[in-house]
Amino acid sequence: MSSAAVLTELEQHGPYASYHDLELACREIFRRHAAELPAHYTSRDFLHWAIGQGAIVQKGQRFAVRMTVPA
Amino acid sequence: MHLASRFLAAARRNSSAGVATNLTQALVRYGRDHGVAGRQMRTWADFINSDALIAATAERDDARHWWIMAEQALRLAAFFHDLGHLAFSHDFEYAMRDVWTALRPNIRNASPLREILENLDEPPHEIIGHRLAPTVLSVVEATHEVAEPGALQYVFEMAQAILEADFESPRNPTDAVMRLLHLLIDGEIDADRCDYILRDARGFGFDFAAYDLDRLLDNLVVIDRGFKQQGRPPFDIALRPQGVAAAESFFIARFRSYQYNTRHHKVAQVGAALRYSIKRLLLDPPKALATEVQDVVNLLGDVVDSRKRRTLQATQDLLSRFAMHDDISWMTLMRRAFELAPTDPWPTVKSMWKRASDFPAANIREFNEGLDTMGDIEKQRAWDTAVSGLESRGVLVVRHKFTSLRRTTLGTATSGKDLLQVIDTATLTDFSAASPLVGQLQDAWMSDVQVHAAQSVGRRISAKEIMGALSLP
Repeated sequence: MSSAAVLTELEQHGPYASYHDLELACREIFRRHAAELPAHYTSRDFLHWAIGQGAIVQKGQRFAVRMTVPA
Repeated sequence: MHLASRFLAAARRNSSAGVATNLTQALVRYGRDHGVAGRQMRTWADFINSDALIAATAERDDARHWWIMAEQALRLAAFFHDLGHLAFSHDFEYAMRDVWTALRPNIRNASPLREILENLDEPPHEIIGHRLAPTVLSVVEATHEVAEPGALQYVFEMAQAILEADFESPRNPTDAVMRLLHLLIDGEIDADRCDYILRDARGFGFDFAAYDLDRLLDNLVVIDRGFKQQGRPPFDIALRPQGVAAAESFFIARFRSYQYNTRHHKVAQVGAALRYSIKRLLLDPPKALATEVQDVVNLLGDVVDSRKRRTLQATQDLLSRFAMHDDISWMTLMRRAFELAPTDPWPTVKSMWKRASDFPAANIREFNEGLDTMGDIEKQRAWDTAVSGLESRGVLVVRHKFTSLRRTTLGTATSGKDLLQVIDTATLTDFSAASPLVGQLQDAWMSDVQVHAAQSVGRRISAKEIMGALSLP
């Protein structure tokens, strides 16, 4: 499973009313696809990367996935 | 005195009246959500109460009983937090995860380890520890006359809720207070870290790993951020300005302890060899040991299998078997595996580099910055592939991950970025701003060895080749 695929799944269930909801959704994706993901990599690692890269953005209290990562 | 108790008592004592009220209300709400009202809680608190529980002494009469139960649950959570550790601790867990990725899907689906290893977000020892809690409770209930079994059940369940409160941004007061209690045993300054830094210092003779624990505790305070700041817990632990010096010593002690303990080249070398040996034994044990290795795998699966109904005897037997799975029992298996294959080329490995001074890259910072950007799935996978490729050529690689001071990805210029902040009157400041010395530790880490490699004696792969394989685009 790729980063883009995880973002796509997150986008399908978003936007998210809170960071907690976003965390929950990401954990659920990682749980379902555990066999296709790197062994020593957590959903929190992914979320922190995605937010740092601007692939997930915060608007007020809500969070939305932006499929195109800014350059 | 139990360190977790001291943490709770100190942080509560220094918090404002308003925060204390909010915390108590959250504990009351937790109780009510679990069908327990004040009168029942008083009865239970009288039953549980002992001189060892100190956090409630700061409370008013009408709040004390909630805090007595919370403190007892916290102590239990601290106990169970590391109870699930396996033989050789983190090295066994690392090896288990490597084994998992090597298994075919049909084998994985049928594996007793599935429930443990399908969860990438929780370390195996935490999953096991969380499942041990209700198992231990069932034995205590069955073997002791307990005057208030409801009290026992309540604190065990709250202990589990504390252990499982690892979401960064809880969304209601009861989750928030559980998260706060969780942070006292797993946070930036927590009872676990404070304990092992001092204990390891004594054990390893680290004269540099010292800090003033009493002063640090005296200056912890619970703050209430409310629910608006995403990425941070609503109830949080902050530091008073008078505690900055003690916290500085704490973070420096931690940095140096990791530098000379976990990240020491010899520890890294042995750790790499241990992980590899454990993985091999789990994946492909010698025929003569296959049943015993499978017994260990089945044991771990049994511990986390909450669906199975067991008799008291069977439960006690399970706990005894788990207690016997320790470093010695597993080392015995590894020794026997070696005796069965004495010509195996692996047993002796040699470090390819030891310190920053002999690290085989022109610019160690540049190399480390490349590692730091490995945040996405593809890069992590590429790293894993590179490491796996080197392993097939006789080189074991260990990547050290370390953060001196964690930050929230949702920090702003106004709210700050450090998870640990200093509170002065009502103003919160990042700890790294209050202590530029600690703020520089992450920079120091970028100039330190973050990857070690050990090669099987007899192989001839140069350090340059290894770096070439690990330097991903």
